[in-house]
Amino acid sequence: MVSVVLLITLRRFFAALILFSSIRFIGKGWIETQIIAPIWLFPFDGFEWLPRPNIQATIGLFTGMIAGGILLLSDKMQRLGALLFLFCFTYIEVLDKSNYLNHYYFISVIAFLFVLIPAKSSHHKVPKLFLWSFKLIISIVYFYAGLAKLNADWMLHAQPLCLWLPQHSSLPLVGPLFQLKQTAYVFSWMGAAFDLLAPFALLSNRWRPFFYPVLVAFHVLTWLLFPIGVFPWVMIACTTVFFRDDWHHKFWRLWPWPSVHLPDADKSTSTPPDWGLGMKTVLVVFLLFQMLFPWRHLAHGGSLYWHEFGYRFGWRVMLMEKSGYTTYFVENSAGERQVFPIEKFLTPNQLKMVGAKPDLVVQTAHLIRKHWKDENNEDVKVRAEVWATLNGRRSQLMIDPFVDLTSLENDWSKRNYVLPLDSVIRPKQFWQLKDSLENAHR
Amino acid sequence: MTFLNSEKRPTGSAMLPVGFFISTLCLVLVAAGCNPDSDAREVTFDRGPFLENTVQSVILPAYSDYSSQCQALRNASEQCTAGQIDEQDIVSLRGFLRLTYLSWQHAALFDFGPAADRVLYLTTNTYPTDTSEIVAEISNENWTPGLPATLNSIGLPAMDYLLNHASAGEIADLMNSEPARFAHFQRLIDFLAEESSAVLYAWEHDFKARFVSSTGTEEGSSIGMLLNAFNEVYEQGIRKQKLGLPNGIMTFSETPQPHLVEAPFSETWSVELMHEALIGCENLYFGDRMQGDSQQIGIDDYLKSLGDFEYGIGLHNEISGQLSTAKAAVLSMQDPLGQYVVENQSATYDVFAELQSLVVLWKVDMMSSLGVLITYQDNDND
Repeated sequence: MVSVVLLITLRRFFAALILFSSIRFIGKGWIETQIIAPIWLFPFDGFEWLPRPNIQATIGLFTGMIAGGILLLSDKMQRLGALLFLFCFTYIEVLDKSNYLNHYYFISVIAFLFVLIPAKSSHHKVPKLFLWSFKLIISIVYFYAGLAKLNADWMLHAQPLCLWLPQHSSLPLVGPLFQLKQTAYVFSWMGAAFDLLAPFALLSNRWRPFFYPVLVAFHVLTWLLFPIGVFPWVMIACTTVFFRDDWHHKFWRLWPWPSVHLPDADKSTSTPPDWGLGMKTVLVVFLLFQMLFPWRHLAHGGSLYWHEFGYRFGWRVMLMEKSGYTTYFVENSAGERQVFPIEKFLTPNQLKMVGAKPDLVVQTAHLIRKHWKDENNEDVKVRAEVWATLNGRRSQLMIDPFVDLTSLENDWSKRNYVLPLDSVIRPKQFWQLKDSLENAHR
Repeated sequence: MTFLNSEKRPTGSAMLPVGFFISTLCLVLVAAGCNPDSDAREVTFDRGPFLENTVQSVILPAYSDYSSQCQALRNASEQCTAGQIDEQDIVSLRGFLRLTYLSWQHAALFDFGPAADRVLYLTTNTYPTDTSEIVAEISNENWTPGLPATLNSIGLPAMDYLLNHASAGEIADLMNSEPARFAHFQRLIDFLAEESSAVLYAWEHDFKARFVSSTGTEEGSSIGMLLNAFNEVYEQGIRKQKLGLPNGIMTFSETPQPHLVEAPFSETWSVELMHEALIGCENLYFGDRMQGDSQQIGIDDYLKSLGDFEYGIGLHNEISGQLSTAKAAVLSMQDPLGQYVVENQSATYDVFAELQSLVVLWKVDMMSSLGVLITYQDNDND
């Protein structure tokens, strides 16, 4: 058994951050631009049946998030609050893949843990498993993010930092440094080392006091340089769960209100409740899943960044500068083809994502087919010519341009419609050869 | 720094690791900067001077020239005596209209800020123009240009119709027998002249300073607005509208649509206008109006500053080469373009491929190298 104080701090920090994050989302006007305004959304696979909320329902969901966050802050109805938040937040997240963020997923995972795990001051002591669940998840986030950086693009070519850092060359004093290739290499290698070392340094009583300031500096730097949202603050706050009990006591004693002070576990005489095997089993299964699920991409050969099979939910953060330009062709039964004006149907962000993510290309094809059927009562095939660039490579064809994408589904099968990375055909060559290639294809 | 006490270490050590981290970083960076082997071809690039130069050498000259051309056309029309217009007047007006049309190709690229506020792009050059609507509006005394309903019957395309739909002599006769027709032509040019000078004024007096001072890369930053507008106008306004729609490449039946070419009534300007539009793109890319590589800071310099890589100098070389190829391909077509797309459709498909290549190079490769955000949204996964 361990003292509950670590969990209480984590719960309060986490609740405060999700409140801030929800209000920030509203304040940025993203309800309109990401949920209401888009003509089409790209639900996660298996969630296509989910009703799309109108403006009232969306406001309801955000109210739910805020109410859930407030309950989670409280000592009484925190698990109910976590559940309410988890439901509303995840509902919004699964509506559109093109808004997927690793830190949104992280927030869902932590919220799920708080649904299972109580963190009440009256409990005084909780099983070690509870505390270690959070420590393990946070360790996975860092360590897997570090492992993901151990690839040729990141380590040998310092990509995508070679493209991202020079954007800051206008900064005073340090600006010129960002134009140097060497800076990108230093940042890449130090970033990888940081992520890989973070779990061990945070767990070590000896290294933690040295490492935590580095961690803060690292996250603040990423916040300054990249459009990464609240993620840095979430990690800075959540990693305090690695600190010792007395830090937590001291921290909350800094506040003038006695009600926020933490209970002293040692003076407790109450016997902790029995948590039951069922909940612990769910917890262990969930943690095993978290450890294994990010490796599903190993079932698929080729470049993970290119086909993106198993890319999401794997703590792959800031690894790619990838974007694409997609032309969709609808083909009628007579074999005649026409360009579909996709730019009229997607938001700029969706257009960018659809150009870069193969599963979204397939999803778009299905949407086009359905739209065409509704408008013209005609069944069409849909093909896509996608020119995409990855980490400084020249743009290349990403998707087999001759395959009818509506014949494909986003399932667990191999993405054979994704062409191998580092094919060398240039756009002009392709257009010259297109007809003969197509005949060969048939 | 309370959390450090938990380790029972002196508080003073708190700053040690941070200091160590930062000084190591600085040392490594300084050492890297001094490395004599570092790429000697690296050019420095600063967005402030880039924006300054783009305004001074590209945007303001484009608007100022376009505004002067509008004014010159207006003056020329005012020189004509209503009721006594002769063939020579019409030939002269046509000459001025052609220059205005050519000049517009440069100004069209900056469809953001003051131009977007006044919907300059749509009010100046929405085509195909609706000729029956123009004829109907000739006698309408309460006609107000610039309303959404009038977009199909105003601007340069309407003037192309009024001056070019018949021989110069016949046009002169029409204008004399129907004075309202000439008056309507003057109303059209008055509107363009006023709009163009209003946009120029807004740039010179307010927007320029804001544009130059916003040096970030976020959405809504100057470089973001500039390049997003540029890509949009190039892809939709040049590649698609000037060639892709007329030659039929984008439709099921692939039937050429000769009436969709730009300035169809002139019969001799369409190819020249398309070529001029590419020169406008080239000026923006290179950062000056010299139509080529130069000392002035342009987008080319940003790419070159990234070094001798596929995404840097390599990309610049390909864009630069493709621009020349595309210009030559456009000039290989002949006016009247409407007739050409019918008789030489497959040749125009090849030209279209050259234009399309630039879309991929600019919209995908270049934007990726420049790292300009297209939307204001958090993004951590790529």
